[in-house]
Amino acid sequence: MASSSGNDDDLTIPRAAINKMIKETLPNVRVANDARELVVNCCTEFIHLISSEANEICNKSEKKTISPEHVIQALESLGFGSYISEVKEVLQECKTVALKRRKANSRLENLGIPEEELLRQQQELFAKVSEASLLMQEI
Amino acid sequence: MAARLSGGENRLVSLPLSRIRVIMKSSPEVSSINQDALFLTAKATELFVQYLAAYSYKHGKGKEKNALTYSDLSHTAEECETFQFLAGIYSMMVKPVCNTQNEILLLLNYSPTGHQYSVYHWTGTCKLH
Repeated sequence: MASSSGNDDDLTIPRAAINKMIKETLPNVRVANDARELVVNCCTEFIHLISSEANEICNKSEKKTISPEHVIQALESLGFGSYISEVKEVLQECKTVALKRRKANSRLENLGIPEEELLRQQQELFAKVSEASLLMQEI
Repeated sequence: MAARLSGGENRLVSLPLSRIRVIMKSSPEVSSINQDALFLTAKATELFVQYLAAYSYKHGKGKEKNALTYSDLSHTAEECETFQFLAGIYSMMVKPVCNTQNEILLLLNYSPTGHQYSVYHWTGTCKLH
């Protein structure tokens, strides 16, 4: 039952990203266009597979949002358990990076001079400017 | 979402999260996805591509000529259990009907997950094997 392309279902991962991953995995190997196209479609299929399974697991847990735990269970039940440790590792790294960035930002805020002090300094400067301009007029 | 990905995280995942989110949500039953869950899915998809390519090359005939071929990939789907969910795509795509010597009509029907593909009309040389 072939049908003309629907907008949603034509969504795929950008070709360039796939090409880059293939190149990194198999450097110096020729890959024809039809093979590349296939990998692109397989990617989409994989995403649908994982999200359907994760969604089912999510529904059973009576939660509304698919959580990382649901995805991990999906990977396990679909036979991709070997991906789990690497995937978790990267998630951890990602959280560490985010945490470091938040700490750096808050440290910067703490070094900031409080507003009242800034106002006081501003008034002082204005006072100096008016004195200087009075002197100029006298000369 | 974009802000969270700036800086260090970019080098951790090379696939666009926004696109992956859209693909996931194109299934009507999928409601909402936690950001970390999205990230995990992206990473798993990366690994999937790497393993698919590496496995297919290693076990395929293409490597005799230092190439990864379409048939290497299709054999992986047939022979490796975890990749069997792909078998539907391959069998759809390799049902060529030769109208003339130079025309092949490729009919892509249902994928295993029920998402439909398009009808392609390809003109090129036909290599039957």
